Parts: sequence; C-alpha cells; structure tokens
Amino acid sequence: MQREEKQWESTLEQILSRLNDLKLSIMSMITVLETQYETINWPTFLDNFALISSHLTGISKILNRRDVGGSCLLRNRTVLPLLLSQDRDDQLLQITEGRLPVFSHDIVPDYLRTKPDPTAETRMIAHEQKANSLNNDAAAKQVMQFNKVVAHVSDIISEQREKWESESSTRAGVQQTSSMTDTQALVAAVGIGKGLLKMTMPPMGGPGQVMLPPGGIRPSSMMSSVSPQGVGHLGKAPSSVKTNIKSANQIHPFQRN
Amino acid sequence: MSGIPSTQDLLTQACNNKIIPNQEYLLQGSILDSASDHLFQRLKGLCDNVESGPQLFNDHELCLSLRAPNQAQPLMLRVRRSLEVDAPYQLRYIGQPEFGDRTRPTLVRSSIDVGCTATVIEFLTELGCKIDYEYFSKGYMFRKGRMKITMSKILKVGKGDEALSQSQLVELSVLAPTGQDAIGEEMKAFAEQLKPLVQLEKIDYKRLGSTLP
Amino acid sequence: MSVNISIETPNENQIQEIAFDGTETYQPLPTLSESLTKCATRIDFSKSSLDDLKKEDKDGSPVDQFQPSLWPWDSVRNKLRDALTEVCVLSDVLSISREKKYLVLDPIQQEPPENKAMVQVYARKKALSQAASVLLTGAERLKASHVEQKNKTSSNFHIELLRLRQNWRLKKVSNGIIGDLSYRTAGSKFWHNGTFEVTKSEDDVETEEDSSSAPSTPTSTIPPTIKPTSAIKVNVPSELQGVAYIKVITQKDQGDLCTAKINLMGYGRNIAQQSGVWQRVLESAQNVLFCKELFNQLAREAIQLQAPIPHVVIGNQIRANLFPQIQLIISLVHTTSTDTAQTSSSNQDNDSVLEHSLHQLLREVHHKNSDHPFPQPASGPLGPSKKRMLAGPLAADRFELLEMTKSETILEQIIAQAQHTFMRKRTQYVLDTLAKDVRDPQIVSHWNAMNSPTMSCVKINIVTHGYETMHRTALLIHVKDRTLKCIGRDGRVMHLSYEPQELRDLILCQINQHQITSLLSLAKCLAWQVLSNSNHLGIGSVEPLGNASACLLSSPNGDRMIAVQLRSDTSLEARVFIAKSPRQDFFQIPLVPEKIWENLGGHFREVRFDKIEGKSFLMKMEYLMASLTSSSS
Repeated sequence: MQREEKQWESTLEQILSRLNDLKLSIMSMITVLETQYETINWPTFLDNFALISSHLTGISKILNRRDVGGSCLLRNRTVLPLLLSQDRDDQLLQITEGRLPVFSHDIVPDYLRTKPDPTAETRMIAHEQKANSLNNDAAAKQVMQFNKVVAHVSDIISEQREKWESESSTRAGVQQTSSMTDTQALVAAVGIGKGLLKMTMPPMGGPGQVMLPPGGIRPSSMMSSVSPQGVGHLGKAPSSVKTNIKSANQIHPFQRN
Repeated sequence: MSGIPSTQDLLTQACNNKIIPNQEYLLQGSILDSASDHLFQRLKGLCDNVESGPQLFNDHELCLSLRAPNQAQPLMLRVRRSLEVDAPYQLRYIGQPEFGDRTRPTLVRSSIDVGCTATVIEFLTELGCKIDYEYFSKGYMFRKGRMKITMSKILKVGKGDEALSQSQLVELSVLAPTGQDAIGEEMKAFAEQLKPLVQLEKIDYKRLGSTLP
Repeated sequence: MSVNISIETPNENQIQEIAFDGTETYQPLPTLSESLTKCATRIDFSKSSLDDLKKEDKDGSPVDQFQPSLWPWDSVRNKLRDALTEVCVLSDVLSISREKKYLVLDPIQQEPPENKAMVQVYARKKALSQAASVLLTGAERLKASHVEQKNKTSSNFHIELLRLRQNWRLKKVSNGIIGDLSYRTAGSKFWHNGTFEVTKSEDDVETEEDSSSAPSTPTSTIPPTIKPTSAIKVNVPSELQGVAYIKVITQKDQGDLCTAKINLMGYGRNIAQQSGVWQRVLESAQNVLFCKELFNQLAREAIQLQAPIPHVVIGNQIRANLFPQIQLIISLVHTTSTDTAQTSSSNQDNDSVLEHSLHQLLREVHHKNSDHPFPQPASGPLGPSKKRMLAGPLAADRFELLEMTKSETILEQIIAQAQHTFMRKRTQYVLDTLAKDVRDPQIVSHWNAMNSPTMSCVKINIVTHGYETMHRTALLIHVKDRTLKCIGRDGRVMHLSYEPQELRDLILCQINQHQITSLLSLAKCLAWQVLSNSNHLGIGSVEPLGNASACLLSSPNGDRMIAVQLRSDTSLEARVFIAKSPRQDFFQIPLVPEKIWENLGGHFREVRFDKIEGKSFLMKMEYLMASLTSSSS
C-alpha cells in the first residue's frame, strides 16, 4: 500500500509537471499571437503547435499507462471533496497560481467539471445515437472494414515515408573522402621523406648519429621517433605514438564515417 | 662606393621593411583518389577562373641535406623542377614550421626560394649536399586571390612510379611577408568551404616523428 | 564579353561594415547562447506575467490593444484560451488534491469501460476526414498555384529571379538579396561596391504609388514609363542611375577636331530582349560604374603623371596637351534623365576606335589584376611573371629588372593613341592636299590596313602619268604617336617631328628628285647623254627649302644640250635651257682662232617651258628632246 501510494505520488508529480509544460507552451503561444502577430512566420507558428501537441501526447501516455497498477491510473480515482470554505486561503491561492482564492460551494461544481463540455457532449451523443441505430453484426463488419482501410492507408504512407527517408539518407550519407592516416603519411613523406628514403643510404659518420634501417612505408603504429641523440631515447617511442593518436582524435572530433 | 649601397644592405633593408614574402602559411590535408574528382570540381567552381583552366603540373622534387661537422641539425634544401614545361629549377629552403597555439589558424614556416639553372644539383653535390629522398608530385593547382591550392599525387621515383598512398595531397598555401597573419583567417574560411570533402589542417611535423637525424 | 566568374558561397551573415574598397565585413554567426539572449530580449515579461494572465482569465474579454478587424488570429486565440483554461483547471484540481485538504483522489474499483466500438469508429472517421480535408485543400492550393505558375511565367518572381541569377551575381544576405554590378571578379579594384538590391515588386497599383513617391528617396525605383509587368524590382544606388559615357574631344584652340564617346550600352541586346526590364536598368548601371571607374583611374593618373605641361583635372574633365595648341579633353558625362542622354548620344558620331581602346585599356588593367600566371614548378610563389621567374637563372641585370617594373598608365596610352590618331589624320591631310595640289607627278599613298593603335604605316609612290615604268619613287612613312619615320627607297631613314610642314617639305623634295631621276632615265631611253646632274645645285637664287636640282643633257650626236633646273618649292617650277653646237654665231677671233671651238657650244637660251606641248614635265621634256634630236642630221 505504501509503495502504491508512493507510485501514485510520483505519477501525480509527472502529470503535474507535464501539465505545467503544456500550460507554459500554450501561454507562450498566446503571447506570441498577441504581440507578434504581424511578424510571425509559419514555421515558428507550426513549431509551437507541434510543441503543444507533443506535450499532449506525453500527458495522454502517462494517463494511459498500464504498467503501474490500476490505482495509479487517474481514471480509477474519483474526486472526493472534503471541505468547502468561504474563507480566503493563501495557500490555495499559491497552489493554483493565484487563480483560486476560495474553495467555496459556488466554485467547486464548475471547477470539478462535473459535466462534460457541452459541445463535446453533443458530439458524443450524436455518435452514440448513430451507433445505436446499427445492429451488432453490421457494426462489427464496419469496424473490421474501417480497421482494414486504415491499416492499408497507414501501410501505404509508412512505406512511402521509408522510401523517402532512405533516399534522403543516401543523399546525405557521406562516404569517407579523406583519410587521416593518408594525410599523415603524405605530409610525412613530403616533409621529412618518410617512406621515400633511399634504399641504400651511404653511412655518414656523425657522432651519436643512428642511421635508419632501410624503410618503405611503415605502418603508422610503428611511427617511432628516432632522435638524433641516439638509441637511449627509443624508450620514448610509445609515448609519441600515443600523442599521435590523440592528436588525430583532437583534430578530428567530428569525422563522419 | 659611396652612393650605391651593398647588396647585403639592400637585402637587410628589404627584410626589415617586410616586403619580401618569406613566410609560408600552410594548411594540409588529403583526399582519397575515389573522391578526388569531386574535390577537383569543387575547386574549379570556387577558385578564380583562369582562362587556361585548371593548371596541370608534374614536378620532380629532390630533398638534399648538408651536414656540417659541428651542427646537429642538417641544412635541408629542396630542388624542384617541372617535368611538363621548360621552366627554371627552383631551389627552396623551408624553415622549421611554427605550429603556434590553437588560436593560430595555420602553420607558418619561413620559405625562401630562388630560380636557378639545371646545374644546381651538381653545384649542391659539389658543396657536399647529399640527396636524401626524391619524389614526383603530379596534379592540379588552383588560385583563389593570393591563395594557392594544389592537389597532387605523390609518386615514388623509380619502380614504375609507384604511388605513395591511395590519397592525393591537398595543400593550401600563401606566401606572404612577415607579420601578415590576417591571411590565416582567410585561409581558414576557404578550408571551411572544402569540408567535409577534405579536412585541411595544420599538421605538426614534430608529431609525425622525425625520421631524419 | 564573357568573363569566368567563380562561385561564391552564399553569405547568410549580416553585413557589419562595408569598407571603402568594397570589402564587406560580416558579423559572425550568433552562437547558441547569443541567439537565446536575442530571443529572450524579445519576450515581454511584463505581458506574460501571471498576474496579467489571471486578469485576462477573469475578464474573459479581448484585450483592447488589438483591433479585432485587423486581427485574424481571434478564433485561434480563443480556442487556445479555452484550452488553457481547461488545462489550468486540471492542474489546479490535481494540485489541490495533493494537499488533501479540500479534495482527495480516492481509488475506486471501476468496471472496465464499456467498449463502444461503433462510437469510436464514427469519432475516428470524423477526425480522419477532417485531417484529410486539411491535406486535400492544401494539395489543391499547391496544385492551383503550380498551374498559375505555368500559365504566367513572365510575372513570376522566382522565375525572374532565376533569370536574373543567370546573368548577374546575386547573393542572399540575411533576409535580402543583394546583387553585384561591379567588375571586381574580373579584376577591378574600384572602391565602389556596385551593389544593388533585389526585391519583389508589389502589385501594379502599389508600384505606381511607389514610383510616384520614389524621387524623394535616395534609392529611387525605375521610372514608371519603362515598367511593364515584372515581378522583380531592382534598386540601384542613386549614384549609378542614369546614363553615363565618357566623351573624348581633341581640341585645337577652340574648335573640335574629333570626338569619341564611350558608352557600353548596346552590348548584350539579345539578353535584354529575353529578360525583364531589370536587365536594361542593370546594364546601364553597370555602364555607369564602368565609366566612373575609368574616369576615376584617368583622373588619378592625370594628377600623378609628371608631364612637361601638367594635365588639368577640373570637375568631370581632364585636359591633357597632345601637341602645342592641341588638347585632349576627356570628360565624364552622367545624366540621370534618360531622354536627354538619348538625344545627345544620337547627334554625335562615335569614333569607334578611341571608344574601343579606352574600354580595352581598362579591361586590360582588370585582366592584369586578376590573371597571374601559375608558377612552374608548382611550389613557386604566385604572382611574379614568367619573365621575372626567368630573371634569376638568366642573370638579368639591373636595367632589365627595372624595365620589367615599368608599365604605362591608361592616360599615357590614351594620350599616345590620341596623338597617333591626330598624327595620322594630319599626315593624311598633308598627303591628300599635296596630291591635289601637285598634279605632276602623281602622288599615290597606300595606307596599310593593319596597324596598331599607336603606329600605322603609309607607302607613297610618286609616278608620272604615262611614264610609270620609267621611274617610281617609293617612300615609306611610319606614323607614330609624336613622330614620323620616313624610309626612302635607298634605305635612308629620316625622322620628322609632328609639324606638318616637315612632311610637306620632304615630299616636295622627293618630287623634285623624282622629276630629275625620271628625266635621267628618259634621257637614256632617247639615247641622250647625261653630262652632269646634281640634286643640290649650289648656284642660283636661294631656295626656300633645300637647293634646286639640275642636270645637263646632250643629244646623241652632241650638237644640242639641254640644261634643266628644278626648283623644289611648291611651284615646282622647271627652267629649261638649250644650247646648240656648232654655235651659229661663232666668229674666229684672234683669241679663239680654230674652227673646232665652234663645237664648244653656245650660250644657253631659256625655253618657254610652259608653252611646250605636253601634260607633264616628262612629256614636255620628251617632246623637247625629240624635237632637238630630229633637227640634227
């Protein structure tokens, strides 16, 4: 029970935060309409609508959540008024963001929305009347037909969407056009002769100079640095490899593959 | 002697006045052979159109070094000649590249070049220079304002001119007098326009691992 | 004239500053936080505060700051307001229930909701049909607009824009479209940025209102008279409006000698026909820009050049001295009203040569600015010419290097060309008047069809009618900008100054020589003997120019002698004397006793040459010689 209560609390919390988002976006929409109706352009207008509709979807998702026990569904709860009062309640005012100063008998029925919205209700009734005029068999048939048609249309649409999406993705898809290792290799070759050095190099006697072994293109992992000072520095080679890789990553943070 | 200043003086004066373009601003990158045509077309559109169209080049470069007995670092010299047209050889000295900090948009290195005749190699070998390595560079060059863009295939000499890699070297460079750092921004902006086809960056030579003593 | 233009990336950035050389400095694109700040500043917090909203909620009346008639969003806002109310109520109820003071939400066991499938079907059907109708009306409208587009392509903004884009450089800068008239991509370095603005023209009624109010604004629109339906309106900066041309006048004292006018209008007519009005507007604006640049360049050069007689720049006029008393006046004419320009351009005839060359000269400067050769090998620097690159290896000396840096300014070149034009006309005039004045011998001049702007060539043949095979004096004259170079048949070269008298004198001398030389060859044909001839007779009266030439001929059997003296002034007067031997009046005197001395010849008697029959000097001489020969046995 305790756990359920907690769950309920959190659900309520979620709903409230969603509602708050929704409220804010509707409000901003109204503000935009009222203040910038001359300069507003369609994309932003539609964006705002999309925002509102996404909030609505979010709320309905929470409301229809089945995974958290029945008691957490809002529809499985009933509103139970406990207290009516004529006195002004500051806390209430605060909770309702200043909309409701008193919780009194003339406000509550309206506030609790005990009757559905009249327009919605008439619509509902019209539909129900229409539905009642059919017998069950015909109704089932119609439902089936409806489902079939809708499924078919949705298939067509989703298929088309897939096609378009794949098309646009292939167009935007960037194949690799340059390779960092190749750049390094080429620059090294032109700059310091890596991979181009003569096969036979006449030994030039210099104190402490180490001649390179004849080299073709070495794999980049073997980019050891042989410093003129001698073999003693060979131990540093791994670190130079590391910095090398790091530098490649640094320069190329967004390389697409 | 009184009226005519010596050549040395004139040269120093010119250097001090910053009228000699001796700084090379450089960005490098590479493009895979498969995408090189794409890059070629883009450069053709972006660069200044010259009546003759994109310029083909086919050069042979020799890198020579001169080791003085008491100096650790050898002096590096490059001799380059065109295999396509009858043009003078070019002798070039390239200094140590200054990588600079992150804010500096390009690599900067000092570069001094001079035209010379074909006997320059003989002359340098007589001086004690030794040929370290050589390669062919074959490709196209483009111009955009004072920027020069080359895309070239690097080929090994001999062995049927084997290509060094499956990519072409792309270089964006400007030769300018000292202190004209504004050009770096211009180059950076141009390099931006070639993305994501090719990433032109300043590449630190030190990190490539110096293979030459 | 097609110039390759490289693509520019579209610049969406705001222009921050345009420098005097036309360089545009752009604002960098705003970062995310910057755009957020920008958006945030737009929000009117006082308006959206909850108090206000509450008030509006309670009032439920539209706020009076909107006039409902102007405000199409009323229904949308009311719907939104309703939705907001509902949402607020829901959130309030939930909030209150959380407090558990007034309300609680009590879990109850509810029977599963009744499944009214048909009701759902109907509701969904209705919803779907509503959505479908929205989509359908949208599609319908798209289709309609598409059809409309197809039907009236001429007045479609985007089609026009496409055409405009094919002929002119356009770029999008934030929300506007800016075009570029300048020749900068072709190498111009003129400071004017030459931009124009492209806007969508309003409906006809509005455009008329626009144009009527336009003249007061700095960037006025196209005059209404040349405004058929075009969906595009181009706004050209006021300083580029109208018609401009450059007038070149060569003036002697006060009278005009020749006039040339530069006006690029008239090029690219065929484009203008297929495209809208803007093509003509832009073409003329570009022409104005070009003329301005040209004049600007000329004026700058005029001031910088160190001429012996300094060039004068006053207002829109440059005066340069070609020759003494002869001036070249280059002026920029820029009229904003189209009518006057057209009438003035029609009554002046163009010297297409000078017009073309001024145009060409600036174009050449542009070309030099934009076209640098590529270095070979490729690692070489951009910029130095091929000649410069070779200077090192070929060990060029100081002089050669200095020579490479020299270049002629446009003004110098155009002055040289004008001088040449003037020289050519003068030479022509001198030759023509001489040919007219001097009937004998005939002067025939052949002008070479191929010539350069500063050099032309004329070949002069002097012949006597009927005796063309006898002798022909040929002379070649190179007409340069300030001098003439005459090359005689014998290879002698004479340099003459720009004074016309010098050429005239030279030709007269040549005629003189021609007469004598052809007389000599005629004499040979008639078997007369030339005893002596001299081109420069030192005796006789002083001639105005040079000396008279003379020759002495003797008949085949030596009994007659003819002496001819030809003066080389304009009259080309010939005096002919004859002598006869044996002389008739030979008397033996003690001093000259022998009879043989009678063959020495007697006194020369002058012949009244003008009375001798014959059209030309040679014909008369032939007649004379023939008659003298025949009389001797």
